Amino acid sequence: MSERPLYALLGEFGSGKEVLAAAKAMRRAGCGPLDAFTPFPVDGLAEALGFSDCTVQTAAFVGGVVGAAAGFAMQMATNLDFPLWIGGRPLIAVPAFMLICFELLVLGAVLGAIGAMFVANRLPRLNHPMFEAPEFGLGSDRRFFLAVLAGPGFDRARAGRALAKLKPRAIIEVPEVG
Amino acid sequence: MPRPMPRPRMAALVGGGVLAAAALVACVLVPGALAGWLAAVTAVCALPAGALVLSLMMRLIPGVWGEELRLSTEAMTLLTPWAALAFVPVVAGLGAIYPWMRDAKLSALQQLTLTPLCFAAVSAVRFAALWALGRRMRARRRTRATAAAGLVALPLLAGLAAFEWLLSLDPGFASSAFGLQFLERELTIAFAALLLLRLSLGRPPARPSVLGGLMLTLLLLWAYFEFLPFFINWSSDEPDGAAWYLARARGGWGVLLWIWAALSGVPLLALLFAKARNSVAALRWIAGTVIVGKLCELAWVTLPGFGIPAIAVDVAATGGLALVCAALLPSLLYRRIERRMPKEANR
Repeated sequence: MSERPLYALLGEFGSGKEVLAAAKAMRRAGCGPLDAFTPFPVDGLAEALGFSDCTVQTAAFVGGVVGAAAGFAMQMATNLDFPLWIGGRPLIAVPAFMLICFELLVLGAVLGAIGAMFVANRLPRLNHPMFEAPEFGLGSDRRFFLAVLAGPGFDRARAGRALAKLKPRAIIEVPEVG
Repeated sequence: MPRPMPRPRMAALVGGGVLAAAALVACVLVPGALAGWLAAVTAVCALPAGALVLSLMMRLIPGVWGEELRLSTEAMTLLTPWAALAFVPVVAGLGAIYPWMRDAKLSALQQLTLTPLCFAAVSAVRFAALWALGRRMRARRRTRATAAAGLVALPLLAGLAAFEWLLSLDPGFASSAFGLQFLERELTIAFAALLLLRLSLGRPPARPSVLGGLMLTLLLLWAYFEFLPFFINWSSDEPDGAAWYLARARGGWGVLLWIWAALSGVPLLALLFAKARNSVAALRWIAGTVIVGKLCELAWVTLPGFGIPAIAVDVAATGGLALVCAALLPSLLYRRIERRMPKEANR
């Protein structure tokens, strides 16, 4: 291929089951870090890849708490700044505040989760090394790809042998974006 | 072959029976105490009624939860005749519980519907429907049609029962969400009891997170159904609605309100974490906590205005009947398993 350094070694599989088994086998063989690309979510694949990042969940939680607190503070400030006495109820009417708090909790959680997802995926991003592999387009249709990412300690020959043992349809070298 | 009941369960059955019988005797001796029996027996009726609704839903929405819980739900629907039997004292002693049997001011519709005959008819039709639908589901006869028809009929019957059994304790109070709260309470009690039964016997479930997720859904429904009617009553501030909530916010009832809110609210927050949804031990704790919370909630809805004897009877009867159910359910489950086992396996 080219002189460019390797981004990943890609194994192409025909089903979710195969890619799941391959991910488990590669992890056992000590090859990694791994990533996978499938046309639909494959149950258990995230665990098999050793994916344990919970940035999105944490961001959703923090966003929710901040949203609810901001909703409460906003209503409190509005009511204290412009007091309207209605039906003898207190100005800081907690039951009435709950609806807006809940709405802003949902908004905060959703914005937090989406924002964290964008940052974690480095979006918006117009190009990705995987697009260099001509077969990669099939990953959104009927092919399942397991990628051994070339990081520190990556051994091309060892990863290639381990991948070949799993009998993939093809092994593809993906170079870094030039 | 039916298995003999182990000694601890036999002891629970006898002890629970004696405790419940003592509570019933107290109801005869102390006026007003029968309301405690009503609260306890409403919780017991929730087991077969909630389990049946769940089993009908399992038929129409198949999935892991059905595979894990089907036989347990069917075993629980076998409690229907016992629940109906336990409800007889309530029908026999309406005068000791309901203000509409005395001199309460009733609307025209209430004068038609709040009569001993109507009360008995609604209760009888509901228990008959629970038994008939449960029997068809257990026999696996035309289960799809049964499930569809049952899921239309049972919420309506639950709404009527909620109106006759609990809402009519205060004829001045009206709430369109009361039936939904009643149904949600029944489903949650039954589901938590099913979880306890399922997690205590046999192999652990393959995917506990699915069951934990369902528990979370029921608790989210609970939070919605309990908060919104309160909020509507709080906003409109009508005297009858306010009186119902005020009676339940004063003194000990106000404390009990926070207790049952915490007993359901803390499990709800815990279930937000995947670790809690995935852990069998955590789910067992959560199911137990939720059941205790629901029993407190039921007492809070039913008993204000009835005094200490009714509360004592509720505690004793609930304890007794819970022991009886805990002793009976494993045997009923084994009976279902043996009934469904292939013939060759029995030899």
